[in-house]
Amino acid sequence: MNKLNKDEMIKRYIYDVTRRLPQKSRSDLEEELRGNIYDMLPDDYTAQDVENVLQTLGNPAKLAAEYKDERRSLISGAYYDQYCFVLKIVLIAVAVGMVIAFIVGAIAEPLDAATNSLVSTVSLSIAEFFGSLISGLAQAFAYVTIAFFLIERYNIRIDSREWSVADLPPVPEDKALIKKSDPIGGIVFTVIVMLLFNLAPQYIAIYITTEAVEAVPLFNLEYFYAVLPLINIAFLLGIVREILRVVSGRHTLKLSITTTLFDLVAMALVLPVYFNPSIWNPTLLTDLGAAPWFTAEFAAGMQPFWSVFYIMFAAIILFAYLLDIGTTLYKGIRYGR
Amino acid sequence: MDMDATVKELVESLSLELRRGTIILSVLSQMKQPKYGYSLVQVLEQKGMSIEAGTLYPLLRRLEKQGLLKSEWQTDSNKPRKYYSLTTLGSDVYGELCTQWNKLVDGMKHLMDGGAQDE
Repeated sequence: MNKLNKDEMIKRYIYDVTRRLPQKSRSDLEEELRGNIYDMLPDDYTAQDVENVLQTLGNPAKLAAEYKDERRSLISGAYYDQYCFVLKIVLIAVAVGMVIAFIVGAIAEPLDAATNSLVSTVSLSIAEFFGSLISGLAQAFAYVTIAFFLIERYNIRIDSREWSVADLPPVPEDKALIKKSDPIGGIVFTVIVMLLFNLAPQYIAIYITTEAVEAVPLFNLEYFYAVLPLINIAFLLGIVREILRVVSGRHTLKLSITTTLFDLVAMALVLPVYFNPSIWNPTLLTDLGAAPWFTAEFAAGMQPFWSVFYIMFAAIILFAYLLDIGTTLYKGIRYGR
Repeated sequence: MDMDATVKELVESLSLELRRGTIILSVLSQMKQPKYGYSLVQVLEQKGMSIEAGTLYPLLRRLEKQGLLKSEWQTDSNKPRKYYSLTTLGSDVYGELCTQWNKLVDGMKHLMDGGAQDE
């Protein structure tokens, strides 16, 4: 082996170490490491000498880790248990939600595609289903991980001061504890609704029977898709809010203020959407006209109710948020100390 | 035979742990005169306290970050080298650590002798 090959080996080793390190310190460290390696070699070194030296220095990944000397895991031990717990719930909820969406879709689909043979439609959608199941689970995994990462980085840094016995929280009364089932229920429900909104908004509908079952979508899908990202952010905020509740495990003032802030942001995002008439299917009434029960008298009777229907839907959502804020603040103040 | 192997294995891993605590003290003790990475590896090896290069080089940088060591590039020879030496802070800390170490040794002696007397 000639000299170039030996030096190439060293170059590669140094690169493999420094590429894992922050840019800032890289060039100085590169220089130093190169100096150290050449120092360790005899004057007339062979390729074998180089190999021995690099072997002594060991695995580049390990050496780089020594240089970094940082916390290595994304989710540290302090939150790991809750992270696993929430991850489990969310993944199960996503899987269950998608199975439900699939079954609903499979029931509705053959009606649309009467020309295709039923078998090929079903087998095709099973393949599709597994594809979207995998990507759905991967996304859920990513969102939960990011959520915990952010919680750890920005929110709950109360442990950074010197710990003292005075910091020990009082053993909470039973009422101050958050039953795990509440946030779990919240997460499962949110995930399922979110899946429905994202995967099959056309089935959020009023179902009417003419010759076949027909779905009259509630939403104006074009507008709906345009605002879907906003709605999704609100859903994610809701999930993070529930995760915070799981992590905290009890009502505190801090938790109630934080979750209230989450609710306010989510409200600011989605209420303008739901209060905007454009989100509703403009042809809903005419489409419903096809149903045998939708007689002229019925339509006339519905008319006054109809004009407030949109607002009612939005009002229900507004009310749900206000209820959550109210109970959270009440419990936070009542049991927070 | 198996028993011996177990004893040997345990002693090896436990004494490694003992030595790990002495690494920083070993390094600081040799840094009154400026040294570059590999020269420190050699000195420590000669004195029977060998520390792996892969542990030592990163450690030097960490100690510099903590302000215990300072470094200087020397480029006059054909091999540019980064020399490390104790800062004032480093030598204060080293002095205090030596006191701690002696206390530790005395304490351990006392414990071990006392343990023998109890038997």
